[in-house]
Amino acid sequence: MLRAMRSLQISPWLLSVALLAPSLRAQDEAAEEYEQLLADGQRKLLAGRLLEAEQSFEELFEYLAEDGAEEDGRYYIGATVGLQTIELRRGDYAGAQRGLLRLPPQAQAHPDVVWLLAESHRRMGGYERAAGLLRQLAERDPADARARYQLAAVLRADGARDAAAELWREIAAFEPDAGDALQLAYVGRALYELGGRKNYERASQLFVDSIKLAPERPEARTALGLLKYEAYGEAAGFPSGERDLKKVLDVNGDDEAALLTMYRIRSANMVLDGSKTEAFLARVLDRNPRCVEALLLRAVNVLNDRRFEEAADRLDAVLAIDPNHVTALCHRAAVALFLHRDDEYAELRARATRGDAGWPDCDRILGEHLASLYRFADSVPYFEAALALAPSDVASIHGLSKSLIYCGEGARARALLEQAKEIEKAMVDPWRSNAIAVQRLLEEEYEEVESGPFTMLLHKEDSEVLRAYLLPIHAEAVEVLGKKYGWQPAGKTTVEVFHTWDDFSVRTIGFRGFTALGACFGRLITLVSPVDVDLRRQDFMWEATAWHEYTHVLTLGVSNNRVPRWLTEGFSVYEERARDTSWERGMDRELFDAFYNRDIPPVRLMNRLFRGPRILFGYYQGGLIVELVTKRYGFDKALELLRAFGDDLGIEQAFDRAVGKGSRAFDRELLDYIENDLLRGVRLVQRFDPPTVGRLMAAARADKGDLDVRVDLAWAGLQQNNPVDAGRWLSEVLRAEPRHPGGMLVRAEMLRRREQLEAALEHYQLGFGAGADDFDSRIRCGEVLLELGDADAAIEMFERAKACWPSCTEQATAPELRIAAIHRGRGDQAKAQAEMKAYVRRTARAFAPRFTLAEFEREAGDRAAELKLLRECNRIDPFYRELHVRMASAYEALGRAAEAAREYEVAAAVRPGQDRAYIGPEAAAPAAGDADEAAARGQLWLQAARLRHALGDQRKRDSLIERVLREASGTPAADEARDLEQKWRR
Amino acid sequence: MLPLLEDSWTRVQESMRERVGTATFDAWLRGLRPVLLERGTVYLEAESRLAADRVRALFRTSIAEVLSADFGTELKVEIQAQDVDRFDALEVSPQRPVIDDGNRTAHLVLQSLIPAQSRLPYEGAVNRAKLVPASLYVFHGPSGVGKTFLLQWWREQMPQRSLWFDLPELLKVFQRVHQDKRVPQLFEELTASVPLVLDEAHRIAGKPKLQAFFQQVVEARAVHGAPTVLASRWHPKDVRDLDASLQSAWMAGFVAGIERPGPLGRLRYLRALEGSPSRNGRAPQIEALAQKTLGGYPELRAAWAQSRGATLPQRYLELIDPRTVFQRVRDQVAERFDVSASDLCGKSQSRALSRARKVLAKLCQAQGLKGSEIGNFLGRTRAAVSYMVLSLEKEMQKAPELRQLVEELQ
Repeated sequence: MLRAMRSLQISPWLLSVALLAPSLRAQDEAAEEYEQLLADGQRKLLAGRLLEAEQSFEELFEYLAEDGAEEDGRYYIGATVGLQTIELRRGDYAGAQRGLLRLPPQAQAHPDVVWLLAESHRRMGGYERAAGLLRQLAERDPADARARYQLAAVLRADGARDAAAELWREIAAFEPDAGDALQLAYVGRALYELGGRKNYERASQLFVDSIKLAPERPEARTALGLLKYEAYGEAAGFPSGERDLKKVLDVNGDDEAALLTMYRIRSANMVLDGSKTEAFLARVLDRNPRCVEALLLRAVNVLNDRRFEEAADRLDAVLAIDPNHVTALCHRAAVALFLHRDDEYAELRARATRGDAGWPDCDRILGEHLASLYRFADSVPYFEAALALAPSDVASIHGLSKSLIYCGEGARARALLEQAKEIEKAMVDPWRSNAIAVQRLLEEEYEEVESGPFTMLLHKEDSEVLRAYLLPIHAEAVEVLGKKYGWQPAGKTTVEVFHTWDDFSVRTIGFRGFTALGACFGRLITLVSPVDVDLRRQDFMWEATAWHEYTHVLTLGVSNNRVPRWLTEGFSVYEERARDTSWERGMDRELFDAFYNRDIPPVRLMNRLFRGPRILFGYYQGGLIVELVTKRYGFDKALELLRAFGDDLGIEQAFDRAVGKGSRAFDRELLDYIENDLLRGVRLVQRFDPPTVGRLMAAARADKGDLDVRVDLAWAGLQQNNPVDAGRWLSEVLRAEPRHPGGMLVRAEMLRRREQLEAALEHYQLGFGAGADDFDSRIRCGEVLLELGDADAAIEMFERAKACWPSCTEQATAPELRIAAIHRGRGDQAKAQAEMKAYVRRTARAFAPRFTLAEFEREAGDRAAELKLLRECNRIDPFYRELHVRMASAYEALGRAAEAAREYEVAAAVRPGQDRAYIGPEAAAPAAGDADEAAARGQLWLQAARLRHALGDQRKRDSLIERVLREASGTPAADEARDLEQKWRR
Repeated sequence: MLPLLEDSWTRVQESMRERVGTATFDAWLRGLRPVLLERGTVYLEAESRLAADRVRALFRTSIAEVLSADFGTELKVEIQAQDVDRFDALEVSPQRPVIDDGNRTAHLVLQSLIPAQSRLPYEGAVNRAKLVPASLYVFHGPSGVGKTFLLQWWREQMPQRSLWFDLPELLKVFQRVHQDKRVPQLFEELTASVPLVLDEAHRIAGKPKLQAFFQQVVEARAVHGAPTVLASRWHPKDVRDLDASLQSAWMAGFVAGIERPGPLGRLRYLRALEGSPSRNGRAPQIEALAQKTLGGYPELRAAWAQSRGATLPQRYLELIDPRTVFQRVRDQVAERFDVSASDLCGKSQSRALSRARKVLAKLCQAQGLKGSEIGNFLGRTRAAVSYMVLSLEKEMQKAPELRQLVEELQ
């Protein structure tokens, strides 16, 4: 186009002169134009605008062809290099190579052509050819840091690590030209490869200098981003490399190296949005579907998801592009190992380590895969093998330490991590730092309690209370569950009970913010102590958690640590309910929503739930699967499923072996079970998710007469706090049918929100009268009736709500609790108690109602019923002195002196700072040395001592008396203790 | 002192404008920022080196007069430029020596010894470029003033290999070669025509054999002129039990003291440690720290670490998570201003919400969030966030109660 425009501007006489005798001036003009087009293409290429760059280079080609330019001329070579660079970036490595080899031999010797040829060979695994070409470049220009650096990278990829390191050292010793941005960047990269604080600092300085000189180039900035990640590990308060990489992506478009580095950095930071992180990888593959590194990362994710066959296919695809990619070979060897293809494993491993037997990464990668599949003990020998080859390999030290922590060998892990810290002086690694800190904490503030097959680590302040209950529940789990699963662990299981949620989280995942209550790694169980304040506000059942986590020990054991996450969680959830039906998770509503929103994932994709916000639903659905298998096929078939995974069968084969059908057929059975057994009769309005709203909109467009769809859309509008859309859909319904039952309830809700209570009530009644019914409308109608002062009608409405959702355990909406409140207000305790009892029978997650009911039972003289309720309270919060005093009193009344004595002892062990009585903001706990507090504890110990005396347990009695004298001296309890001591001696 | 200085600086703006004229004031003086007041000297910071040079040359006296009148006591004024370069570099620790009055002489002398080309540095051009006609340089100063760091930096700038010993290490080597009867080899190595650095040279005190040997080394090195650089805690004449002839040889070289960093040196060092937050979110804390922490670099580093410790989790490191930081600050501000979190990030421009939003932006900035990140969470542009913060700072200058509220929230 430019050329055409120029032609138009040329006057006829000039044209004739030019045609007759092409002047030097014309040649100069053409050269100027070539130069402009070439520069334009290169600029666009650098900016990542590949299509535009391609146009420029092609245009240049056309002109050169038209003008009959020499094929070894500068512009011809430039255009070829530009176009083939684009081909290379799009993944057509062989095509790029062919394009370059079409150049005449003289042109093929041009440095840019040699470089690109080498790159095309490298990307297809032709490392030797690539190295040969790069060596030519390096020899031609000894100061070419870029060629030398790339040569070293190729040598390393080919297993010649020592030669690569030697080259990097040579480059690092360069005296870089302060005006050459590219050289500065590559000297910096060589320093980065050599590692160590000093090299990092110098590299950083060179990168910054390079960026200043050529801010438009990506090499230095990308490397600086990576360097920051290596140096600071994405720790908060330190610089992140993400910023530099974002800049590269802004300036250079979808630069492959920057996108991959960005993915790597973000993947290491689990608190960031995973979907955004994944988008960076998607962008790489969008540009270059044959990018080996990106395909490899995808395949590794699939492998860690236990989809071995699929991972094998993906890795084979990677190896089809670069058959010599050693890292891909290692991952592929891991798949062969998991699939018990021993010969294939040996062959792949040999290929991966060919010519570099001292390379530690192969064993490290195998170890990491085993660890990611929860086979921590199995991973240890691999990490140890890696370290035997390279004792200072920090990645292997970290891998081994992590596995050791999860095998219950925290002290050894700490020693290793300290060693890694020493190797990586001044480098920040937040996971390592946290792992050391939490292990130090365990060594300083926790005490070890040996109990049967368990080693318990309890915080010194919690120990006295926890050991009274945690040890028995674990012993019971060993007996009951061990018998059921027919398996007992060979060695000891370590149980670490953390004083705070933060400590638990750091031990479990390395960072704060993990919201689970417990975790199991086979030989190690981590739990949050029920003393944690945040936890206590949630009525969490520590006993259910302990039971849940011990079930993992068995499922992991039975399956040789090969059970998928969804299934092990499913067994644990199932066992909670099997032990006590009131240990429920309050997930009915989520199940209802998921079912009607068509959002129940098939079994084969269930692991996905564990990587996102629906993890709790993943637990619950896993529990339903085990429940269904047990109900329909028997528990032995559920165990068979576990064993099948233990034999490394894939999901289809495992289901086939256990229940005689594939996973898809089982999915249908599960949906049928949910619909016909679990949700039968439940009348709720689902919470519509965006895809469902989309489907409803489509349905509404397709059928103008479908009023039910419109009612649903009106509800969806209200759920999103969007009365405008809700009103629009409702008006369509009411225009067609002014008394539509569902429409009446929507209208009632809209009126209620506008606080037009009488009108709302009228519409509720119209709706219910016409046959519409749902739980929430019933509850809200009851609330309206209460507001209007009609308590009897409200009770009636709440009774109707019970019928809509008989298993509701939500404390905020449960009809029983609302009816009980009305009865309590009227002074009718008997009816209030009956309602509360009905509620607490269904759920164990209710401390306050239980504690109140226990008081009623005591007043009614039913101490056994009182004790039952108090024990259920203790399953939620054992750090409540009043609770233990009451339990002791009930035990005493029932003649169970030993248990009463234990409760008095535990009551005394609850420190004021831990006591539930003082966790609210309004009550201040007495100081630890407070005289009244000492006196109160003294009295409790005395009570226990009297009971121990009566039981004939002199040793315990004397130790209690001694404790009173030591810790409650100067109080009346101490005087009393001395009197008792004398009396008992007599 | 800094708030006092800031108040005074705000007050004298009008007088300065009247003195120098509005155009000049806007061009050169408006961008000045008071950073320190120490021992009767006010330190102001200009946005660029050009501005600093200009103000120093033309307006320093006027500024000193106006400020002195406002304070009621005679003040001196120092102008420095913001050091903007290398701010993005990885700073596991500061990478270049901090240059101020305490070490400027030593730095200039060492810099003059760095040849432009790598070949034959000690003849011709380099010798002519040297600031002082000597080949032996003794830099002395108390512990923690950065002597070793300065020499390490110099060594890295040198294009060729240099020999580096600290005295205890040299002593060990000397003892060993003495035992092995290989002293001539060591002599030969030390007298090679390459730079030689001897750190902790004062530790030679009371070691007569080593002193005698080193005396010979110094004399032999004087022949080819390659630099011999000594770092000592004491001035040569204050080093105990030092042979008189060796002392004389040292004194014959170039002797310069290195002192503890002055206020500007401290500020530069702390900024290098802190990185970008020292220019935005943590600027006041860093400036206050530079003001109050006296001593050498180790003391400064310790004080800085302590100042950061207060805002970091005590035991565990966390991963970078701008969203969580933003949400935490947002909830805090929402509670304090009694507005909802969603309104805070919404579109309403009511006065109460607008102010709360500005406070939120400033507090987030103080927590190290970038303008673009704050903008993303607030649904506004980076420029809008920047404007919010500036506008709040102006409001805070006029309203002490607002300043107090923001400080409480911090």
